[in-house]
This record gives sequence, C-alpha cells and structure tokens, in this order.
Amino acid sequence: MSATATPVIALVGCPNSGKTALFNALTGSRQKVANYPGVTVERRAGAFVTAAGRRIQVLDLPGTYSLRARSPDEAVTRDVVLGRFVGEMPPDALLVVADATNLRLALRLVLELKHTGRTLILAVNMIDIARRQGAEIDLKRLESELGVPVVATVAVRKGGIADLLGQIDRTIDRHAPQAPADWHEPNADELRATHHEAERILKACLARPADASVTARIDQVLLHPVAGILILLALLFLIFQAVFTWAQPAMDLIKNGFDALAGVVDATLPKGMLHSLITDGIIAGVGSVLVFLPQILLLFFFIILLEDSGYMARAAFLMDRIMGGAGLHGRAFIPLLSSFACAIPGIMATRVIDNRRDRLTTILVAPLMTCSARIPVYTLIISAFVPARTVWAGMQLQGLVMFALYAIGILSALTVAFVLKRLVWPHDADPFLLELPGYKLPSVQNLVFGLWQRTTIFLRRAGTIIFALMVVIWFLSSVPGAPPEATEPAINYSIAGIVGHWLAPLLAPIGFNWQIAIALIPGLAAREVAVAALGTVYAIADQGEAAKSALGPVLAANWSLPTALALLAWYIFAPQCVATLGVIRRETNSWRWPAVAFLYMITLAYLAAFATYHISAALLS
Amino acid sequence: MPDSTTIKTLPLGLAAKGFRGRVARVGSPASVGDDAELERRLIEMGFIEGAAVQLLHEGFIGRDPIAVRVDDTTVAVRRRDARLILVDPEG
Amino acid sequence: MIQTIAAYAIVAAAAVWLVWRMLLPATVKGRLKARLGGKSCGDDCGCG
Repeated sequence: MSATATPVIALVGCPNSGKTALFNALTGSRQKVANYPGVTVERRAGAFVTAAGRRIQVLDLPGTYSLRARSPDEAVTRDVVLGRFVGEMPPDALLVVADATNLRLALRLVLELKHTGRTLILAVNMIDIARRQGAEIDLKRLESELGVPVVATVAVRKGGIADLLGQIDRTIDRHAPQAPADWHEPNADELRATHHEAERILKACLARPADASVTARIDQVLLHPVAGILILLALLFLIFQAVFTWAQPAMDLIKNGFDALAGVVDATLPKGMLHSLITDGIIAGVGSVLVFLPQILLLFFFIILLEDSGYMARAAFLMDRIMGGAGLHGRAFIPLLSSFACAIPGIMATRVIDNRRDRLTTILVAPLMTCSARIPVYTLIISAFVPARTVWAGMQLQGLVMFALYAIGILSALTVAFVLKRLVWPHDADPFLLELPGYKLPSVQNLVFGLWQRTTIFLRRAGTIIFALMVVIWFLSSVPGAPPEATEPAINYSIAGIVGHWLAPLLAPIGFNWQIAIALIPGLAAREVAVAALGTVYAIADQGEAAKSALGPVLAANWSLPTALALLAWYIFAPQCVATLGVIRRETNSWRWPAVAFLYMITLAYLAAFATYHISAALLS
Repeated sequence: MPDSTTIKTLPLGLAAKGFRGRVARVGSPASVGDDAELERRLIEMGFIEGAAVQLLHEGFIGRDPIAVRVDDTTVAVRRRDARLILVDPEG
Repeated sequence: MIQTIAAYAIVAAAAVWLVWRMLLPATVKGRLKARLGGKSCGDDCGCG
C-alpha cells in the first residue's frame, strides 16, 4: 500500500452480529449501495475519518460463518478478504464483528481469518446486551489468547466507536508485516480442531455466558406449532392491510401531484409532440410507477423491523414446510408477500435467500402474485362484464371473481415453483440451516437508513431506466402521427398500431380483437397503462376516472363475454411490465432470466386465455 | 459421557421435543459428496462432538423443522439434515 | 416543428442511453470508456 492511498477496512462477521449497524455507526450517511460487478451481491461501501484525521474506506462484506463460501454472497466475502476479487482493493485490515452474546462461532471465524495473513481487529459487538444478560467477558484475556486487538462496541448506540477508531489508527500506523497467508478450504477435521481451540479460548475468557431465557420465553409463544402460525398469519394480515390501506393517502397525493404537473405543462406548452411526450409519456408513465413508492416503503418498513428484531428467522422456520411443499425456501414468503403490492420490491427482497437456485425460483414466480397494477384492469373488466349480484350468503359475484383471480395467481406461482424445483433443478436439495438469533429491539437509525436506501434505489431506477423506457414506449405509440384526413384515433397509425394490427391474427385464437392487440403494446410499460390505451383506441376523450366509467359500457357493447374472460386470464400471467423484467435483469445480472420469465409467462398467458376463451364460448353457446 | 456405541445413541433427526443430550458424532468418516458438505456446515453452526444440545421447538407439519439449542446458539434445521448428528441423551 | 425536433431528440437520447446501459456488455463499455478517456469504472459499473 502506498502512503497516500486511503486505507481500506473490510467488515467481516457472522450473520446477525450487528455488522451492518456497526457499518452505519462508522460511516453515517457517507455510504453507497451498489452491486458488485458480475454478481448480484449488494456492495456497501463508505468512509469515515479517525481521531488522527485519517480517512478510511470501509466495506461491509456479506455475513458468513466461514470463508468456505457456498452462496454468491459468501464467495464475495471470501474473494475480497483473500484479495482475489477483481476490481476491489485487497483490504488493509479486517474488522471482525462478533455478537457478544454468542461468541463461539465468531471466535472460530477469527481463528480461520488469521490464516489469511491479514491484519485483524475484533469488535465484540452488542456488549451491552451481553452484560445485561449477565455475561462476563475478559476482553484483555481474549486479546492475548487470540493475538488480535479487541474492542467492545454497542453499534446501535454508537458505544465504543471512539475506542474502535483509536484502535484502527494504531493498527494502521503499526504497518505490521502481513503474516504468511496459508488459508485453504478447511476439511471437517480442521474445522473441528479450530472449533475446539475456539472452545478453549471461550472457556478461558467467558466467566459466565449470557442468559438467553427471555428469547427462550418469547419463542415458547412465537414458535409454538399452533399459536406461532396464527400469530404469523395475523402479522401477515396486518402488513397486507397496511400496504393496501395506509399507503392510499400518500399514493393519492403522488397521483394528484403528477396530475397537477401535467396540468402545468398543459397550461404552459402548446399542443404538439413535445407536449404529448411530456404529459402522456413521461409524466403519466413515470407517475404510474412512482405511485407505488408509499407501498414499497411501508413494506420495507415491516421487513426491516422483522429482520432487525430477529423475527424473520422465526417466520422462515414456521413457513419452511408450507413453502417447502412447493419447492420454495422458508425465506421466500416475504418476497412473495411483497409482490402483492408490486413485484419490484418483491424481487428486490429475494436477497434474503442465500441459495442461488432458491432465489431464482422465487424471482421467477414473484410476478405471478397479483400486484396492485393489475387491479385497475381487473376492476374495469369485472365491472363491465360480471353482473353485480349476490350469489350466496351475501357474497358478491364481482368480489368472488376478484378473489378467484388472486387465488389463481397464488396457485400458479406455487405450481411453477414446484415444477422448477422438481423438474428443472431436481438435484438441488439445499439444507435449511438457520441460526435463530436472540430477540432485539430494532434501532430507529437502522430503520431510517434502510428506508432511505430503498427510496434512493427506487427513485434512481424510476428516474433512469423507467424514464427512458417510458420515452421509448411513448414514441412507439405516437409515431408516425395520424394523417390529416384520419378518422381513427392517432394510435392506430403509430408503430404500436401497426404492430397491433400485425399481432391481431396471432391473438384472434384467444378471442382478442385488434383494439386489444394495440392496447397491449403501450400496456407493456405497466399493466394499468393498458386501461388508458384501451380508452385511446376506443376514442374516449375523457381522462382518468371518467374514462374508466365511460369505457366499461363501450367494452361491454364491443366484446363478447368469452373475450373479456380471456383477457382476465391473460392478465393473470402476462409479463406486461418492463420495470419487472428490468429488475429481474438487475438482480440476476443476466438477460437470461428476464427472457425466461417473459417466455414462460407469455406462454402461460396465451394458453390460459386460449382455454378460457374456448371453454367459456362452448359453455355459453 | 456414555460410549457412543451404546444403544441409547440416536440421530438428532429422530429425537422428540424436549430432548436434552450431547453430540456423540457428526457425520461419519464415510461421508462423501453432499453429506460431507453438510457435515462441515453443521460443524460451522456449532454441532460438534461434545456440544450440549436441547430440542426446543418443532414445526407444525410433520414436526419439522426443529429448533435446537447448541451450546449458546439456537439453530433451525430440518430433521432430514439432522440425521447426520448422532446424540446421546443426558443422564 | 420545434416541439417535434425536441421530442425526437429526447427519444433518441433515451434510446441510446438504454442501449448503453442495458444491452452493451461490460467489456465493450470498458473499452469504449477507456477510448473516450473517461474515468475508471464507477459504482454503477456492471449493475443493470
């Protein structure tokens, strides 16, 4: 390392050791979240200044119990630690973070890391919780036994950070010659030997272990085979309710904001191409995606709370068999739950799943969950075609159809997951081994940081990729413009119109007319845009709610019931959302998976619509 | 500690809720492929010869998975994977 | 007329940017960036 270069420190530790909280305490808001090139692992980097005025770069590596990597996350940790990661500076020192209430596994990791030859510092984190639980740890002894400087920290309250900064200064100053690096993947017997050594050190340094009886008592209820599941379901119901009702005012506010913005553009810019691009393309398009921000934030609010408190591991425990029946991992249920709001945060939330294939399965089926963008399409068609009558015991037929659409979405997601797991990846039986950490009060700072990061990631996407896609889709549906003697709506003459007419014969077997074919093309931007597009095709001049109420009767007069039902079936499966495909591309770092998702979904959509159209036509004739 | 060959030794995967004991053996010298990998993962989670284990909770369907206290750590594991851990009951 | 030109310019910029960001492989991007004398690979490199 040259004297002028900024030293790099990497944070290493077992999952649940409070590593990220320590990272937040060290760097504050000076951090960047991105992806490592070539893999889907989140790279969190930041910087801080020590007491001596030295600027230090810090890298938060994915949690791991060992350098023996199994998941892509753990492989990143291993490669960065060993200095093998292309494009990443080898760290000058490793800051190993240990949970003070559960030192044994961390000590084994420290002993393994000593073989990498890197300079180490051990942060015994959550020391306050350990002491409150009666643990007595001899830190001096620990330091001499390990031969590594040890600092006690309370990351969530920034306790011990000054000590830690001082230690980092001393360690970096010392310019200790790097120890010989002789790390190799340990075999079972070597693992046993280090474990026994960790055990010996622990016996010497730990006068009394932390008492975990509070967590045990809480688990008596939360992991109870019956009560535990009921509490989990109640919690899920609460989250579901919150996402759909609490978010509504904020969503209305955003929608009104965009409408007002369109109004301003209307008032200032004369009608023309640019006017159309800004209002119909950018404001309407980006607005239709941004409107989900409140739902996404609420979801992540709950996810971070559940994760930080330690409940998420319990939820995975409770759901493992239920999800496992369909070949999904216990941890997949939160991403799938999130997908009811929008598949984008759902797919982003699959990062909690370690195994790559489990994660891919979840990513591929997440778009089948009924997201809220389908609701406008569903309500439009249902209100136009399904009679509003009570069927049985006060149940509305329209509500039943809606429920059935949700149920079919869930069932097909589980079926596809089952098929993928059993037929496509049959030999992959990843063991379910999960530490159930002690319960902790979540820290407000971590919550705020987490939400802020989600917001910036989402806004950056909306402002870049989604923005550009909306511009391109607007172009396709408005160029070339209508000739002066045109009698039909302008979209008919556009590229989208031409492609729609082209596609019409292909879609005729599933009962779609050319108007539907055209509306499906701008509908690629986002599902609910198809409603507006149908309004355009049928030349409904009104905008928004008025168009929807006027469109219903027009559709009822123009479409047969089998066509309407086929369109509903189509929308259960159709991959009509570029943003989702974009996020799959981003999360898997390959075009292959969005292509797979698109192909299998469009195939299912076609088959479902075909079957629905012909069966209902036969039944009605 | 009883000898690991006594009749009382059983795989943790077959133990009932409330079971208390010690790990007699993890994996076997003959473990290969997936089992050898699982053996190493189990050791990394603290399942090692001599560790105190207690079966705390079990799932609703098929009493699976199980939550096991291993020394100071609580670990969730499927019964199928816990078959590699042989345990001696306490006392 | 001015509106049309402006709109087309925005569309062209968006299309070029999309191709750059999503379709070009990272190696091609790196070579192009090196030729243009740009900065080294930023944080966004390789991520969608």
